[in-house]
Amino acid sequence: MFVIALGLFAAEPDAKLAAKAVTGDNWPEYGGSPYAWRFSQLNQINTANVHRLKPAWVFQTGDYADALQATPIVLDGVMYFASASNWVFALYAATGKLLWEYRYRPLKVEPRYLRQNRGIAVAQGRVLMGTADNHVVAIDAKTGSELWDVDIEDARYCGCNVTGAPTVAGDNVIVGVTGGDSSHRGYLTAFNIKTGRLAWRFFTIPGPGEPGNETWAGDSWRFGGAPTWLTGSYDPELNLLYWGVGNPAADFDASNRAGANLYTNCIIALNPATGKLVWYRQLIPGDVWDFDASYEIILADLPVEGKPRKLAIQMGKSGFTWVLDRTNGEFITAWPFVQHYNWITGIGKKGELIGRNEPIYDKPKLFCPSAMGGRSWNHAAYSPITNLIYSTGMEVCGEITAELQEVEPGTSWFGGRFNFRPPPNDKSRGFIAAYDPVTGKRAWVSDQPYYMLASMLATAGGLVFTGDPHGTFYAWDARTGKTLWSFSNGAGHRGSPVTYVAGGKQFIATPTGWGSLVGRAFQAAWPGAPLPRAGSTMVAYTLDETVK
Amino acid sequence: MTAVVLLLAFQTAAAQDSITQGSQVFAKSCAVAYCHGPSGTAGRAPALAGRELNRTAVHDAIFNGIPERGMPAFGKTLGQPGVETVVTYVLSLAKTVTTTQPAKPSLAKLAPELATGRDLFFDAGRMPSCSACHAVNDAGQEIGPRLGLRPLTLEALKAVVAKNVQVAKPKDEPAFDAIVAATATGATRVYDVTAGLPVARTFQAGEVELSRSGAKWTHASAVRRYSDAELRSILRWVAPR
Repeated sequence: MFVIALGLFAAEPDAKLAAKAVTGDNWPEYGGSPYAWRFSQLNQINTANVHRLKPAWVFQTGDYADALQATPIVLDGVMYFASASNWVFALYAATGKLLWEYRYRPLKVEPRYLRQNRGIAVAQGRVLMGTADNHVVAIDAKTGSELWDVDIEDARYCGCNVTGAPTVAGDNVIVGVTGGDSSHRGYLTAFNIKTGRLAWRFFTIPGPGEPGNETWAGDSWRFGGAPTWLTGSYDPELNLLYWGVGNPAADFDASNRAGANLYTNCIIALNPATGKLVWYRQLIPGDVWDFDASYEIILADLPVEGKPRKLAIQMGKSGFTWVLDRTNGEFITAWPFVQHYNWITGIGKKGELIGRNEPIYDKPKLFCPSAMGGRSWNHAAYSPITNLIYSTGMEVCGEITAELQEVEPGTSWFGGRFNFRPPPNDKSRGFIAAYDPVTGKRAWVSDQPYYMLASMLATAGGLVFTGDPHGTFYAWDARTGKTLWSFSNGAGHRGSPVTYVAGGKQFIATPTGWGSLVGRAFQAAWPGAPLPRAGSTMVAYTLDETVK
Repeated sequence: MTAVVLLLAFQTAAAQDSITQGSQVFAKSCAVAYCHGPSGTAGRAPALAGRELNRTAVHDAIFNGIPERGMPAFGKTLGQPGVETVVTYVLSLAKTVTTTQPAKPSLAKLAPELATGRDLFFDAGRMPSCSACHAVNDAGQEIGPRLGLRPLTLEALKAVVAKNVQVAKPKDEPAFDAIVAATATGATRVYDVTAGLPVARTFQAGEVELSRSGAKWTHASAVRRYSDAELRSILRWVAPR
């Protein structure tokens, strides 16, 4: 109904892939599609009429334990999403009225990595969710009753839990785990969607005798971090599951873990049915800045130097974007997206880091970007029409002081301390920008006073959407970066907007309500600034029929 | 008289100095990102300002840390006098200060030989580990009996026969061996024990049939994932102390 002709896609991206990677009436997966574009082909709402966008309904979850960080899933007129305490809601997407509500049992122990649920998956009639106490549950999507529940690993021992949305591939649902700032050996675990039975577990740190174990000094592999706390992407043609792996523990103190520390700070590609590693590419060996390689991986087919390539693109926490060949992990190129960076001077032709600048013990040293990163985990969007990646970002630096630290399993393990400082001769600030995905050439930038911690949404209506920490939700012209519309939601944005059709109309929906780990650092980076407001509310917009 | 006044004035000045010094240490070490926030008002760690605080609890938390909650120990780096100035500052943020001694939880680090047994009990590489079905104190999942209440020998452990395994036959699935968690009018909850991690399955009325005969799962099949040496190590940790 609101579909654009495929011929309108920019000539360069592969049109066949685009047809599978864009969303339409539904928003069926966390990243829109398994290619993680967060781009919709809907264009009923477009640059010509977005000034008429107005709130259609509001739903307040009542769960104020932490921010509403969800990406809602919308299928056939029903919206599903979870709140911070693992309460799950099914709403009629046209009206916001409640169809059913599910509440996971109250927590016995407050999780170290906080109650941060970023999303769910819906497949085979089941809503699948990882919990704050390291369980994974399947809920009947029609009725909201629990079908199965598995304890992934004891949360009190591991100090770990699930904050990211699970990924579905074939018959399996794959769940990640938190870590990196605590002593724990990370993994990905896959379960059969129907029965909950364990399909496989892939440890992101190889064990003794396995290739890569020698990249860990002594027995530091046992509690070395390598978490998988965000959500993977999936290529159904290549049958490869891609996941970003986080940093080694302790974050800033590498004294007991000399070596490259595989597979920390890697993009890994697994067979989703067996969990076998097909390839890996380490982006940052021996990380001592807490830069991870955890963020979303956008899968796109684009020409590089005139030849068509199958790409995996990650805009990293470190302020650099990596572009790999997703068939074999080959390094293609990397480009910076922040102005201020000093942890390296650049990245070479083979992906090697040039000019490593590391923290030192017991003396603070200024690093750019800070431990919050050049961007936070909130997601970018890729538009095949403009052939641009849209992302939020920040220019914030910070002092890191490395320290020796002994630790027990599952306990906090930073190996030092850190703070936030403005970049040299600059203010701490944020931005939204549009980049060529292969060259990194910036098409436009919209400077912001503070970091922006909500995901981008891009549509065929020529629009990109996101919300700011102080409650304003915006639409920008995707080609020019001009602000076309905004609305004041009253609470900070820390989740992901989506778009869908319900009752014959196109909706834009966004979660609102501030919090989260990086959200709570707002005062440390901008002392004295007005505080972002907490809350936990989904807001949906449609075009006002009465206005011209 | 003058001497007393001067002494009081000195003490007040000293207290004021402590607060200033303490606030400087606090700003450098405690207010940092993800922790207690500027002036103890916000952050990932509990807010300190405007609360009822206990002097001993605050001192112990700063000096010894609270390892299981991520609070580092500052006793070594600040020394007793340094900790005192921070305590003075933190208490100056409080709404009320109490001085009664609260009960102190044990913060003792485990001896290495006990730590080995504990780590094996919870080993995520063993699917299932002991902790998948058994709880000790506060941790683990209680599907089977709670452990650590009675001594157990290796022979006795290997001889354990699980008497409560049944066969669950759901309406549209093949039967599987299960341990029943709960049955009530309207819902039946069983643990599927056939895969690497137990799955708690919830069935509505009429969706599953349970039968007491024919189950093949044995406790020995789970115990066999560990060597005798590993089991001995686990039993040393589990043993009541």
